[in-house]
Amino acid sequence: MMDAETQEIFRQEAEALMEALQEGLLVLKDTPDDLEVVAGVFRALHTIKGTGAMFGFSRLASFVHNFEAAFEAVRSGKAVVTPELVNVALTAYDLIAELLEGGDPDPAKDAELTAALNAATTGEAAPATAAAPAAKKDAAPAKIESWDLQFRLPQDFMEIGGNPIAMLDELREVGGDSVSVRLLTDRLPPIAQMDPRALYAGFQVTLPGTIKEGAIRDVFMFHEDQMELNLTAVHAAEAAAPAPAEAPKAAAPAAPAAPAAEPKAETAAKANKAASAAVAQLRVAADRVDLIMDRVGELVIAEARLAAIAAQLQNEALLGVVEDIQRLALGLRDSTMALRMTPLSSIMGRFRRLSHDLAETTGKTFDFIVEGEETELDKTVVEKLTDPLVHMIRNSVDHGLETPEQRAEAGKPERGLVKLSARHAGAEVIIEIIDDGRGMNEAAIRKRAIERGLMTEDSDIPRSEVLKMVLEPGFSTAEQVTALSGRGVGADVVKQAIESLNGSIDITSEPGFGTTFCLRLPLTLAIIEGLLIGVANDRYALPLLAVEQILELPEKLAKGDSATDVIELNNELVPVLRLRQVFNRTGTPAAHPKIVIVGANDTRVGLVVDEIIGTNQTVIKQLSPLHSRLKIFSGATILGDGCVALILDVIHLVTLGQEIEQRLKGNAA
Amino acid sequence: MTKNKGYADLIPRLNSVVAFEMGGELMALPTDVLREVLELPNLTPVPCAGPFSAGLINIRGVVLPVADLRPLFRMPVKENDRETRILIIETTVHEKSLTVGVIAEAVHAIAEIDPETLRPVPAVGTRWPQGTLHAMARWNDQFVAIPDVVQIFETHIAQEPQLVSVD
Repeated sequence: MMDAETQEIFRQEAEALMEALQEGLLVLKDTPDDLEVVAGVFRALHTIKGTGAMFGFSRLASFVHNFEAAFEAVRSGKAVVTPELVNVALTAYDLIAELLEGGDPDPAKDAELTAALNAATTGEAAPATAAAPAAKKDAAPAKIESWDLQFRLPQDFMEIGGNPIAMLDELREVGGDSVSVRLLTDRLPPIAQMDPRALYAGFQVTLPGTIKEGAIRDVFMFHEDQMELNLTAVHAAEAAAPAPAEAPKAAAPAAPAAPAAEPKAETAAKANKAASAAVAQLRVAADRVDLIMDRVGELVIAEARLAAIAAQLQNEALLGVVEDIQRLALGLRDSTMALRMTPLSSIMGRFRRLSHDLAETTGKTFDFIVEGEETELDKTVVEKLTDPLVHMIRNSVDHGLETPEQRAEAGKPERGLVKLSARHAGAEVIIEIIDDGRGMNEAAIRKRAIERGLMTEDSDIPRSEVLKMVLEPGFSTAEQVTALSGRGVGADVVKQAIESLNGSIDITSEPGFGTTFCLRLPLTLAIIEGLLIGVANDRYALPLLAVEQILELPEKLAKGDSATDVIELNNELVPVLRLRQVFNRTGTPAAHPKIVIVGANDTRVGLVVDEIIGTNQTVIKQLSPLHSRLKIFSGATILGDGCVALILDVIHLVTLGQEIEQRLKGNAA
Repeated sequence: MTKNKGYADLIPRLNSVVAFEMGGELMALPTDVLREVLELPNLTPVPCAGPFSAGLINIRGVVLPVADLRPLFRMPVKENDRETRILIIETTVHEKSLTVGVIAEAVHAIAEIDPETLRPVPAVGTRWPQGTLHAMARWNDQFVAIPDVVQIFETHIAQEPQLVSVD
């Protein structure tokens, strides 16, 4: 036997293979004809077998050998994928997982499963499916080959000080070397009518598909309203097989190989790209990435200090170098952040499996749909999300969905729907778990909450808050609240996990039509763009993405000195917090205070501050346990001059604002 | 040695203590929980954090909280001056490691305390809240208080309610 450390290496390697294996099996359940997926499953098994034997997992290797044999039969056309085969294979998968974990399951199982696999594949020989696999889209998330971007800026763009070249540079920075730009000159007027200062040209830019839509749109963030912008994703003609070198000849003879007529260079580039997607993966211990992130944080801080000193000295040469370092530091920051970003798809296999198992155990038929699994999140966020999502999906199926009979009775399609969707929204990621089941019973929840002492008979709590009660610890236990469909079993785990990620959770539910759990999570826990503000003599940071507007404080409000007030903004009343008063700071306020409008969860609050200092790179440091109960601050950061500044928690401020509004409404009534 | 009963854990730690001053009183802290002594850096106050929070400091890129124990000991709070130091303490509180600064009005020396001079804290007539001191002792012919930092942080500082109200 090998030592524990080598075995650990094998386990880590096998983890990715196992994920691919399970994913492949689940895809085969829906598209049993997809030979490419069969080949993928076969390869994963083959590699697990090979490395398993090498690392001394002999029982595992011999079992996988038989497992592999079953798929060899499918691959060579001697057998077809049947639902039974997938089911047996999934059970076999579990056995492998158990063996990998170091467990010691009953050896009889090996033989039993081997026999079952055999039976499932030798039952009847069927002709190999010769047709080209159709639904390959399911095998891998539709891969975006490239982005085709066309944009035209307003004609007076340069006159008002804009610089299209800078935009193109920025696009190049986003997209790397492979960005190509073509000038669109079709709107050029005859030379006699040409205004020398106007911008007539448009631009057509091709960017690599690896970059995210948001990154491209960000370049035009301040102009999108006034310009024409067309961004279309060009999808790959073929879904890239996990290992293209081997796939075509081994598995899918009918799969479109790169046409020979294609220009040589392009073919090579394509092959390269596909190869890099499959091969150039580096598994790095997570704490090393954390370490790099810390160092980069330090660098960004040191850089800010350097910039502050250089600005004082006003030395041209020094300023030049500082600018270079600034650019490098920011680049390094972005690449390091990218290192930490993990697509949600990395944990989706688990949920597909879960839904498969749930369908088996509950006898409910439903489609499990995943949208936006390419959405990337900080790896810590992704890791901590797994458990809560498992909980919520299980709840949606267990308690949200009705049985096929009940659905038929209610006039709904018998097949239910559970959808997991993820998308970016500003500095947040929104994840929704949607079911089209029976919905939540508000009255029952109210009753239960009163029983549990979470609210009183006469409390006037809005519906949205009542629904959230199911997330309270000890709200319900499984057997007691059948009427309520038992939601809330362990749901406090969900709440806890989401809160520990600085996220929030909302529930909407329509009786008879289903329930939606909406999670909002910060994109990253490491570095944000901050707006630095001054209150009394201290500086504080606000996440810039939450800042909607900065205004001079209106005369009328300047006189007040209570901590709270309201301001009318675009015909809407926005609650206002005077930070000086909230922080109990005495002394004379600034002569020209400003009001910063910040927003979260679709609501806004105005913050009265003494001054706006500017934007900065805010490296978020967690507050120590001594201060972590102060909800108004989400963390601290180190400024260019080495001082510490606190980061204001926008979500909390908005909640405070809402409380003010409620109270004012109460007073008015 | 009967009078030193109950100090078995403390006595070996008295070989090396840092002697410092707070509210005019002399105090001694075993150096096994002391990481370093800093001159007063820029201190960022934390609004709404209660009287025991002196603020936050940046030590080589790490943000640390600084506690002010004087309100706890019912001592007058003297303005920070050239003598003010921050003792950086590393200890375990509620089974989690905690690094925290503590304001000292002056730091005198690293010293050794004679275990023979240990005395229990009088139960009445002292300003020290229950459980905040290990014992009293004598050093350089003066009384010196030996604070129990773990107790202080576990039962007093970490419990401080820190809610912000907008009223």
